[in-house]
Amino acid sequence: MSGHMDLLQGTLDMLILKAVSLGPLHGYGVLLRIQQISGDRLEIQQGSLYPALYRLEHQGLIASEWGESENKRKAKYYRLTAAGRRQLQQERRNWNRMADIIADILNTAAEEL
Amino acid sequence: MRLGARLHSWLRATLHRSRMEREMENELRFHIERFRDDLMRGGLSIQEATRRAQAEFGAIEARKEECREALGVHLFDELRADLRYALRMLRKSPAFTTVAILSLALGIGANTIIFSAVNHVLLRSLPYQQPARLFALWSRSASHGAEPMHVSAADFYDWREQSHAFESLAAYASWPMNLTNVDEPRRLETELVSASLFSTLGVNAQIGRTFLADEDQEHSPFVVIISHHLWREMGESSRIVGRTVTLNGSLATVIGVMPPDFAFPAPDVDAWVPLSLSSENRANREGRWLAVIGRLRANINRRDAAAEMDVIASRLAAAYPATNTGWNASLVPLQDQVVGKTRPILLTLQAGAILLLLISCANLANLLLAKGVSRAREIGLRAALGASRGRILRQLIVESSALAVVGGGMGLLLSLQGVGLVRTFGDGLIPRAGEIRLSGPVALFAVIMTLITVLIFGLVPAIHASRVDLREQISSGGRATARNVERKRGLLVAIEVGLACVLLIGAGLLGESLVHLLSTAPGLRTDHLLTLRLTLSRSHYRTNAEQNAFFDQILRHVKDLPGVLAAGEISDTPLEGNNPTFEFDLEGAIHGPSDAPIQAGLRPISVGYLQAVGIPLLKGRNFTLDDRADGAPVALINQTMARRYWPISNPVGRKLRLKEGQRWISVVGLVPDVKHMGLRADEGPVVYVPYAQKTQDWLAWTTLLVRTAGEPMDFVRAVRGAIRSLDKNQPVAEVSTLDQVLTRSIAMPRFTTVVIAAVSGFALLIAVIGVYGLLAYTVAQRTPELAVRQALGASSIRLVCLLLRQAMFRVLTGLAGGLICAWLLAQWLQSLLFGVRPHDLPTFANVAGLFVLVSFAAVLAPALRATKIDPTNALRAE
Repeated sequence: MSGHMDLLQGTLDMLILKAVSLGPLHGYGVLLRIQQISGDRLEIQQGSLYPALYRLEHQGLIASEWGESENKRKAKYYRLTAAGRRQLQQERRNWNRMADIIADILNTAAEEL
Repeated sequence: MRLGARLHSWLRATLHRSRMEREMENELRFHIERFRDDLMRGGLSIQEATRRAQAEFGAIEARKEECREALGVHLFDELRADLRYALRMLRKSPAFTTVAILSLALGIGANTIIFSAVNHVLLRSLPYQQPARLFALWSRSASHGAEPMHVSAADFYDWREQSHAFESLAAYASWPMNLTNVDEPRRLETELVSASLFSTLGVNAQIGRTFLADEDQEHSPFVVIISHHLWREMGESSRIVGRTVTLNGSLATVIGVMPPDFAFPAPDVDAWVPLSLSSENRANREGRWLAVIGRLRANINRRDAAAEMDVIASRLAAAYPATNTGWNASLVPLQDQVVGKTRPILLTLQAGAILLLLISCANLANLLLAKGVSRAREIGLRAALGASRGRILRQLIVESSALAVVGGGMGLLLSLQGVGLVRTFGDGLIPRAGEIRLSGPVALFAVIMTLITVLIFGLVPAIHASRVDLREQISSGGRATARNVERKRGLLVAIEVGLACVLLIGAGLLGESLVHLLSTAPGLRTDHLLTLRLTLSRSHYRTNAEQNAFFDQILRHVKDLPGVLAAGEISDTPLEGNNPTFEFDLEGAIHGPSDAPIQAGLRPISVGYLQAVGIPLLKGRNFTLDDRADGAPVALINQTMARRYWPISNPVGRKLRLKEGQRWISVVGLVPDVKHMGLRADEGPVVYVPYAQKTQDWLAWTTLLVRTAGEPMDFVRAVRGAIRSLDKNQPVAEVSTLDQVLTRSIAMPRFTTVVIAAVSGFALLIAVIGVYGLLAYTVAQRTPELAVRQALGASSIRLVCLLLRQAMFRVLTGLAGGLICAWLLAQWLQSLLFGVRPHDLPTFANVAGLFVLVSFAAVLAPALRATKIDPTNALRAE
């Protein structure tokens, strides 16, 4: 079970928020950063990235502005808003709680019941 | 805050659409190019890297669409496309579109117009403080048919003193006065009012003040409050307060000007004057002439107030048995009092308009259902190509919304025009008609109605049409749906017919009433008669002798004018007159079971009045110049009086006397009844006396009627001149012809009938279009089946009969339902009918016959078309 794993349903938004919480990024940068942090273990559909970015911006969780990229080209940079920061904390808490619960269930042995 | 962010983002995306598109394009392109560069750094050729980058990214247009969806702008795009498509579809079937839009516009327009009037007259409260606590109080007695009657001055003051339920009571009476010492003397519509009137209503003067509590005492200084319109007429001076005007020859000081919207008790009132009665008049219990209103205390309800008035009335009856036995007081909310007569009319019109709207809606649903079927294939194809059900539903709703918006908009335009017409034609018919506007709530009413129409009558057929079974649709050519829809459409057509039938019967009954009214003989010749009203100033003409001499002089001068054929005078204008009744003793009459004095109208008339207006003499003689004040008292009576009290013997030569007058009066002649109070009412028993022998000096007014050789209005100048030459300070008022008076007296029933007739006409038209459309559609849908029948040898006659039977079955079902509903509802019209019973069988039969005939004509054409089907072609088309 090494190699790539597909993203769990509904977690892309959370990962994007995390990625831009470390500093403003353009869309391609978000993709690279998630792959980098995950050690290339996660496969993200490139096309699904932008609708997600637009949705998050629409919801006011991230904000965008045009800036200059590393190779002197104009690119759209996303950063986390205050609402986005709160949302990220919330999702992290939820995720951890959920992961604990699931792990407990999966680790339960027959005699413990 | 999150919602705000979304709205902000949506607005930015929608309003700066092209910039958003450009930025999106740049952003995605940037991504692909960076990806390509990275791939090239990994050693791929530029072509391979570009290909890989694009492939991994996926279809760029689809991604863009997903991004747009994320921003919510796609909805807007799709809606725009839907709308464009809807308009194209509507343009493609102009007949359908025209009928749908017109029927909606008429239904919504009629409702909005009438609702404007209903809202204005019935729903809006009166412009007084806490109007719900204001009541009108009337005297009532079983011996006078328990009709609400005016209140005597003594009763009013006793009520006021003894009542605790009312915070305050006020009395008023219409009392026209002459305004003189001005360029053009004129009669003012003046109200005599108790000083408490304005505080009872809770209204203040705009300039100056209203009456002080003691300003209606007998010897108080003569003061007057003027209306806003009289103030404007007098030059809008801000220093009006303190100025004097001459009213009925006496100097009155103006103390206040009322605000423009104050119109109590009627809009045409010019001035209010204190009811300063002498102590003798204050104590009078026989003359019942005051209207009374009262303001209920905050913690008292209507029932308690009525109970208290009962106690007071019985106390008064015990104390003054001669005048108060059997008399009671009745309470009517002031709002009901003001709108009382108009309410049933307006509600009838509103009900008619609602029926019309229902028919329009049924018609729209019918058309949409049919349209849904004829488009079943198209919808099936779109579903097969992947359109979701919601998407198709939305498309269909957008189409009916487009219809509703255009129809509703046209309805609103129509009602803008219509409200103007109501203002013009309703003037004098509908209380405060001049103020009727298409206001905010009314526009809202129209909008809500349009929305309801769309939702119910657009959604249902839309759901129906979108629920398509693809396989069946494509294989059967939509025939299964068609059969199902035909049943529903049949039901809708039956409903349309039923509703239209109810409306037509209402119109029929009202029309019949109007015909009865128009064919009612007024009892006098109304053509070529000029009428003018004269009210004498009591300060100049104090006594009966002075008044009667002046009336006589006027008559002689007017008769001498060239072109004047005859002239006469009477105390009240015929056809719109009041009928003040008096108590009489009769000699040798059948009084009936009780000994109660009889009530009869009393009308002073001049010598020559009967000849001038064309009332024939049935028995005895006319008044002559010899019937002088000092001569033997004489009277004429009408037929009702004779029939009621001297049914067997000849009334001529009999004697009667006024209870207050005491002199015996000989009946010298008999005349027919006249429609004195309008065509609807009988005048009851009436006694005519000559003006020369009039004994009531307060009765200082007359209506002059002049029979002319030519157009009566051409004589106004000459008649005015003759009167002015006798007294330059004598104004004339209510100048009109008797034909105009007659027209005015039936204006309301005519107005109601015309409106209802127009509404019913449209309803009939729409229903017939529905009947026609249904069969035409059936024939079109069933062409193959009919062709098979024909091919198998069914004769043309048989086919036509088959189709007619099916179509007429629906018409008859609807008709039967409509007749039953109309039968149950007809009672509601009772108060508007004249000379016809609500359950008038001929009217019901005529309407039913009309429907059968018209429907038959409507279905004949499509039925005959069915016989022209060429079987070979029709079957080949399958």
